[in-house]
Amino acid sequence: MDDLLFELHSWPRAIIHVDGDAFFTSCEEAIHPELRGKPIIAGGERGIVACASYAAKNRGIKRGIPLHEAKKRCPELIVLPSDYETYSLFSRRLLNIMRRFTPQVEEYSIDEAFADITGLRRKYRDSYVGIAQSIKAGIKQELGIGITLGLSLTKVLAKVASKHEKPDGFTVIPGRAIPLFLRNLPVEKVWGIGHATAHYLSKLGVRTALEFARLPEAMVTRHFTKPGREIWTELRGESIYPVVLEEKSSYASISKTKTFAPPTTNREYLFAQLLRNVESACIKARRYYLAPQKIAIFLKNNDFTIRGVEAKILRPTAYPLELTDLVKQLFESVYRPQVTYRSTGIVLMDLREDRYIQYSLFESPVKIEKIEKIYEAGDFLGEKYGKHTLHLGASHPIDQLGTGRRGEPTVRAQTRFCGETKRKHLGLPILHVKV
Amino acid sequence: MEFNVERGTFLEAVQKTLGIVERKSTMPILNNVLIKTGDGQITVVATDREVGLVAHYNATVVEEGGITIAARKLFEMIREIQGDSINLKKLENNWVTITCGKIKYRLPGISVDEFPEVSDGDDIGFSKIKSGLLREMITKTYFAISTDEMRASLNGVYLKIDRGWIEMVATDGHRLSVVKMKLEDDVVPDFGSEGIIIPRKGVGEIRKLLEDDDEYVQVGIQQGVCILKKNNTILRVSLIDSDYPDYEKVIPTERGIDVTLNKDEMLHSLKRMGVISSERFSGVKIQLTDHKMVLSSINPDVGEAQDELTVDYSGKDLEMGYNVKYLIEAIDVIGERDISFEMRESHGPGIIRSFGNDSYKCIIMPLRL
Repeated sequence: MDDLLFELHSWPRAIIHVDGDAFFTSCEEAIHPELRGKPIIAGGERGIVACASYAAKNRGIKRGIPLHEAKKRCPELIVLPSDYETYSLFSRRLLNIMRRFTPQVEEYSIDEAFADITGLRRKYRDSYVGIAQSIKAGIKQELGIGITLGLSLTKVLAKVASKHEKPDGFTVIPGRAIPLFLRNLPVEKVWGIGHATAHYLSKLGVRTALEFARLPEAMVTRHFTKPGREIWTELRGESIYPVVLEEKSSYASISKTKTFAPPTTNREYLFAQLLRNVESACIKARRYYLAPQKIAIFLKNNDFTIRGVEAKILRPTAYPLELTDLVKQLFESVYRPQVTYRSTGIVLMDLREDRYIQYSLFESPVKIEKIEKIYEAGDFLGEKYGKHTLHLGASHPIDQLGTGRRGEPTVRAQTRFCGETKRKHLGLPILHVKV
Repeated sequence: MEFNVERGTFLEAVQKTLGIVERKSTMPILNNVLIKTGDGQITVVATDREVGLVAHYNATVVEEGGITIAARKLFEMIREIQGDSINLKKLENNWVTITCGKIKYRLPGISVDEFPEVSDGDDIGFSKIKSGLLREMITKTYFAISTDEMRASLNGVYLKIDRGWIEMVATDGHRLSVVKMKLEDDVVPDFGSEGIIIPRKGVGEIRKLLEDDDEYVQVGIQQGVCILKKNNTILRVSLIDSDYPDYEKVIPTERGIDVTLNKDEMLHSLKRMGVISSERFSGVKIQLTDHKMVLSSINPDVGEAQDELTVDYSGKDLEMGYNVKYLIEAIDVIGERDISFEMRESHGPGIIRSFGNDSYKCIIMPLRL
């Protein structure tokens, strides 16, 4: 009965999802072969486990636990600082290997990518399964890192496949096998289904992905909004999410979070960190000509509890100078003296296009123009001499007290020339122009 | 309770409440209209606790009493009934039957006791304003009312009466619409020196009340509520308790570059530009050059548009950008044949008014393209 619904013997579309296995530590193992197989973690500078190698995971080390806890569980643990520059280089090379097979590759995150290989069977004189195997072998051979690959008819199913077996997994879900893979998969494990949807689904009596996929169309239309209907369609093997080539040119929201070490009780420094996040997020927003209509801030204290608050912005703007008053107010409403904080973060929300300025009756146009000019100059300086060359006075304590690092800096950071930025050191173009 | 009422009258009575009754179900009783009998008449009451309506209609009362009924369903029932006279009767447990010939509806009501009090016997000093005058003022300001909940004071129209002049203002911060008119035989109401702010929904309901131009409507203020009386109807609107921004200081005093235009020509030209606009972009560029006004709009998502009008203007050439929707809305409400469009250089506001008449002005801030 199950199979009737999914009687798809051919491959209307063949989509691959590649997922790095413990990506950060995999990269470290690739450049330091002597660490291979040892319990290592990255994230030393943040005081928590950002990524744990499988050897470490086997000793009970999980992502997100504090360092002291990790060391207690595994005294021989090797702690490394996160070296994001190296990881981005590996990520770039991974994508380039995939692009050799098909131009249609989507960079989904630093260690995840989709590729559409539909129609390439003739070119490579190989089956889709064969092509996928070649991609996986290529990555393993050239980069020396472990990856898991999933192959199926849609992006959502390819994700199901790559999650099925990890690490070093290779899972193929052809049309007729869809029910087999969805039968025991809890619906909340499906890409795009969050807590709220999962709870809603459980009220409809749906617990597994298969139960969801087998809901009648009329019911899905009645109970779900567009994203829900799309996931349902994808789960049934009909591809509607395309593999997108372009870099994202627009965002619904932009968030920036920074953990500093050691944690601090210093109010000024904390506020500087928060404002620096505002500055970073605004730089990104301006790059895409976006301005937020809402902003949220949060402070995370040393026992990992988070306090946050959000507010609407009267006139959308991506200039920190216009946001400082509001951010200060929000900060005051969540900040508690004597509490030790470890990170701050902000989210710019409800972003809308901001190429044009609608002048307002009760604000001086000249003032707006002036602020705009300042940031034009600031962005220019930023590109030439590094981000935040021009920054707010209130975020200056970071430059005086440092961004806060614990343990040894990465090798790359140690070998950087004086005045050289991360981006320059790597030669990464700002807009990721494809070669 | 039981009464007979003419279908047309009843339909109109219930229809008038539909703008007021709540759509949300936080307080289900507010989805209902209250109907009670009186001396040869019925009284229909609706409220959302901000705006309240009390209206009396002729009816043959068989038995005294009152009931509340879901307004929207009641309206649909009366609308679908074919016939002249409708009988409404309250049964036990607040059930109601609505009968007309062989047609019979039966539905549950809610007891009158749960319905919030809406007073209709106010004994305050009322003043008289001509319906047509008030309606024109509302039409010319309503579109500029802000929808931004963050600025409560802008979510309504500001009304002020000063030495025989009545003035109404609305703004959303980007444009400001102001109408000033002379009160003639109208009896001047006393709004206090501060003026009042009437919320958007209330303004909409007031407008519905002002049908006939020459009729007078009685207006009074009592404890933060604006009360309007006309014939059989009383409308109560809770005012916004807030300070209105100092709008007079944003109205430019020095003259800019004044262009005289035929209203319809300009409106059509702007509507042609409007076709190109989208949610993300709704700009129009206006160039004054060589006795021509060149309008153009470029939206990367849609396409391009251009148009040209021969115009009369004093002053030098100019190039400005505006939100095309703001211009259309400001011009659309003008009744006269010609309009004047006054523009200023370097981000100065533009002003739309009818030609040779200063009673209506819409001040529009430019859009930098």
